[in-house]
Amino acid sequence: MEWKGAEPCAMGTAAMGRVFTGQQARAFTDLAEVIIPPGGEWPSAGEVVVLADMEARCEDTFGLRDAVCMVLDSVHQQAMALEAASFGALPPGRRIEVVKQVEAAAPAEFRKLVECIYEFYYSDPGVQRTVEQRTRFRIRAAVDGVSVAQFEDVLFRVAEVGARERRVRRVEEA
Amino acid sequence: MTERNAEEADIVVVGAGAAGAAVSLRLAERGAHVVCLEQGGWVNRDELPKRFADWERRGRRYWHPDPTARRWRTDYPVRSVGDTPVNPWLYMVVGGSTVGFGGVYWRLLPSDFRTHSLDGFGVDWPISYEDLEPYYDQNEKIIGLSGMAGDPTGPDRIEPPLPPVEMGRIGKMWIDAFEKLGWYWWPQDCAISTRDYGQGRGECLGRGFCRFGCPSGALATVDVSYWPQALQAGVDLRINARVRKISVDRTGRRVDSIAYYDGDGMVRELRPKVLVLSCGGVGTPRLLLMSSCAAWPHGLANSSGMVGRNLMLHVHSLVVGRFGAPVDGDHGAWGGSVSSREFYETDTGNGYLRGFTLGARRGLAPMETAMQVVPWGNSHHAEFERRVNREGVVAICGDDEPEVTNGVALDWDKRDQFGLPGATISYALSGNSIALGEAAIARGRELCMAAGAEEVRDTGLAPVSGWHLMGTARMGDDPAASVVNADHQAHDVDNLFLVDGSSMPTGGAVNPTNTIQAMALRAGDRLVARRSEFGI
Repeated sequence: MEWKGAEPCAMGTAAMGRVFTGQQARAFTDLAEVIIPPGGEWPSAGEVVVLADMEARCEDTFGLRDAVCMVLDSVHQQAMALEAASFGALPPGRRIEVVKQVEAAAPAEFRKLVECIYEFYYSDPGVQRTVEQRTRFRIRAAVDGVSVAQFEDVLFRVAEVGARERRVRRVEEA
Repeated sequence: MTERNAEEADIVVVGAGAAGAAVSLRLAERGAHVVCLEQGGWVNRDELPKRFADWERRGRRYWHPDPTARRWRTDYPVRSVGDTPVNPWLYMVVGGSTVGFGGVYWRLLPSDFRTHSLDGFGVDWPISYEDLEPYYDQNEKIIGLSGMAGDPTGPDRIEPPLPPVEMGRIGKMWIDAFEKLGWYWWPQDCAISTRDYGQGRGECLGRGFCRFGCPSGALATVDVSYWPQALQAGVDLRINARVRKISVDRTGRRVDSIAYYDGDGMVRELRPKVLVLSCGGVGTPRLLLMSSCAAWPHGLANSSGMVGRNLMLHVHSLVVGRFGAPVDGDHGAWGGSVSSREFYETDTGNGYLRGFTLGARRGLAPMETAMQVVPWGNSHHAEFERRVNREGVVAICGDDEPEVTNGVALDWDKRDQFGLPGATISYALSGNSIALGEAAIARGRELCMAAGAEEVRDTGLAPVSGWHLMGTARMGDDPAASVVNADHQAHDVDNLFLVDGSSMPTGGAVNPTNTIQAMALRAGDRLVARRSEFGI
């Protein structure tokens, strides 16, 4: 059953155990696609980010739910005002225009949503593999460790510094 | 419900963090019966973020350094209300905020104890570097310091027990840059075991991003460094023990009892011969202010009005250089590979007093990089690839003058689960701190360019990272201008000792944990030397 109320967020009650209305849910998925679009080996956030994660995040983070719902409602309303169509139905250029307008109108709230999308996106195992392939930064190194190189190869340079004039301020002058 | 009979105790220490663990160990190994109350529990080391591939996400969520964002059951709320926003960074668990630290482990310099006499900056300490020196040595042995003696910009010292941490490719780039500029540098002292250090303290595996906890125990967080020894020495550590009030006798000059909620929510009472507060730069003044009474209407031990004032945070920023090729950003010490005290002391040609350190290290993690600087939209992936694994960081840490207008207060609008008040941090960067910080950022940029960076950015001077919380119950000889004396004994209450970062009269320009723990070991020895005064 679709939620028919106008402002489930403002009421503080999720419909059927969900945070978002159907319209908000669609707007979220479409917006994620604009925030991080596909490119080369990179999937889009729309492909990767799971709606349920966003809803769960809204439920356990104070103040997030209202901010996110406001942004999603604004995206829909701006799209309707511009083209009398849902956000997802807009051509790509118009979608970006709408998102920029929403960002300018509510930068703090928009930032919260973007950070959530980034967080979910870069936690995805497939995206993490792409990060490693594209940047050669091994995310798993923080879990598995790395081969720790010996320090000795710069010791002679340390010794050179150690031989320099001492520069410790004398406190006796106080 | 309250227990009818108060329990007697020789010494009660409140707080099991960096200072509380150190003073507890020292007192217990000298034969005192010590009860330590910690309002949090033990960190579940199987759940540390870096046990999991999505460690950055976990680090941003349940491991978040801001208790108001993290919302562990045992936390109290802390929020910033001053002109300069502060991001609170503190943990209320066994190990305190060390569980989320980077292990950068400097000593202060002799001049840091005399900044007023030397430079007209802040106040002088009632103790000297020489007073703390043997305790630095002891502390560094306990935690397993990695580093090297011989830095010409530091005082003579014994060789650290372990060799320095790996520098990685980026570390060598920083060395080249320091040399190019003719600036002194030295391998960073770290509280990281670079060899197996016993008692479960394994060798550093170079996982990096230390603030998300260290699964191998190489990072000397206090839960794995001090506490096993303290428990072995007989300290009675009580976790989930949330103190609600300290009461004094009729004279107002002696602590009579301390009431706390235990893990079941029952109120319990202890009657210590000596009470030591080691709750940190926010927690200690909070507890003193919560314990106001007829004798001390403005907060316990607060005849000076200095409880909660003079908060110092350090002037801090990250200067980030972007290089044209990968820099092996998953290698090298995270907290600092190579550091410099080139600009530590006052230079009369500058427009500010005192100085700063530069800590050069590897870059930021991928998600953090994206959050900081990668835009949404069509350029996202290209910008991400242009930055991740191609950046290096210069962390600046500058001296922050104590000012009575900066401080900590009770927050009755935001309370913990027992209705006890949270804390507010009210802080504004001074003109000196801004001038110093801008100069430090400029030097950081210079270093990045010398290292070959194609582009440099910085994180500015605000919001301020609220991790080095110092000065809010400072030591001094004058009871009208300080809260405790050189032995950490409250001027106003004979058997009350305040031992943590709040005791620091000035903060120097380095990470303070080594100093806080050295002070705690010394405070323990001073207390033991005077034990007969307290009937112990």
